[in-house]
Amino acid sequence: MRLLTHNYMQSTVKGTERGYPLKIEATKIEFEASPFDAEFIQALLPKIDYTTLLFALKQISENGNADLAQTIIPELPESIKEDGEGEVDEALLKKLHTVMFDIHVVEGELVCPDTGRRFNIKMGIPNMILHADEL
Amino acid sequence: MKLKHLKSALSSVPTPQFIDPNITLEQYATSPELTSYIIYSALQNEDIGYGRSVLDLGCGTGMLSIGSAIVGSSQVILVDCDETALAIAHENMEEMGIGEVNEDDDDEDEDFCAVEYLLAKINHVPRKDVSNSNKGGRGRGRGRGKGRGGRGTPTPSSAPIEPPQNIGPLDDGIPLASKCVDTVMTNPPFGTKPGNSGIDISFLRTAVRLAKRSVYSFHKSSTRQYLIKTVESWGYEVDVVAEMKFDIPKLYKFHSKDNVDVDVDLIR
Repeated sequence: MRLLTHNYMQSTVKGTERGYPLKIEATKIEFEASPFDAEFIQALLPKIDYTTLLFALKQISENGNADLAQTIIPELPESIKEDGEGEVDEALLKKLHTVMFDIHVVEGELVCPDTGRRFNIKMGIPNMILHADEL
Repeated sequence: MKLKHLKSALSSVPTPQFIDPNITLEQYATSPELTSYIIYSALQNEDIGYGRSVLDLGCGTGMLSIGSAIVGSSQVILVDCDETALAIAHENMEEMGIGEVNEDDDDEDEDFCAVEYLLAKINHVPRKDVSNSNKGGRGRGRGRGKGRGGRGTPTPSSAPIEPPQNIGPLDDGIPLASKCVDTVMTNPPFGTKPGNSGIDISFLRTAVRLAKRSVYSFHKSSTRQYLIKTVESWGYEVDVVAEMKFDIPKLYKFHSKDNVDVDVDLIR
């Protein structure tokens, strides 16, 4: 599961207020560099929730694979600054790309912030199937 | 990309059919032929392709996702409630080289597709509407089915189907924010099995919630009137893009004929 996908995910368990963002407790993270397309990332920025992205990054860095976190995962600023033409510095775009696309949570759990319900992640795939009483 | 190139690329998918299909989930794979048509159509409308994100709802073996990726879509999310199906889809994707990073090939940058898989199940409440009868015939079902008396099934709702909720708590079982992708593609179960009646509408309901631009979906032609009316009641425009024959080969033991053609509508 990439952090970009996590950005769109919310819990649908009965009793949640909003169920967003899900907490991440990763036990295994992998890193895989993918082709960087500055224009694409720039266009993607308005569609994501940056606060959640920062939140997710912090969660990943805190638990599991601390050494991986330190060597590969870039640091992101508190907010994104645009220049006069509304464009973001390319170096920052590259970091954003890395954070959104190249970090994969392979094993771990997602936790609903309201109900505490845990969702398992196995082989990179989150299992979000709810039981009948949770709907 | 020409339609015929698309078709031949899709024909090389290693496992286009389910190996041991689950009958209660109504698992029928989308054929390369059908897939190439829907993909080509969507590409022409610029609903998929470079820069676009696509979600395959009820992906099965992943045919629609593979098609979306082949034509250069930047992001594809595959959702299914069956782990085995996701596994097959994953394998197919790998065999087709989708989502893989090519170290030497710089020209391929534009075509990289970020692929994600999600295990999730649509929360379907069975309805007693008559829309999913196997018989053909003109548009039937005006949204108020007659309650046929419970046989221990949950109380069916006979009111018109509520439009999907876009904000606040979600009720459809799919844990994704509304309008999170550009386009949703789906070949939903048709709801011919007991307890599943109307499930294709549930799929559609979730699909319109998730999509920013458009939804492409297959439904039985016999349900066309009811479908159009329902979608329009939610405030969306719907077009029947094509009428096709969905070729269902003998997959399950109870099928007596070798091939059955079901008339389906491709709607946008």
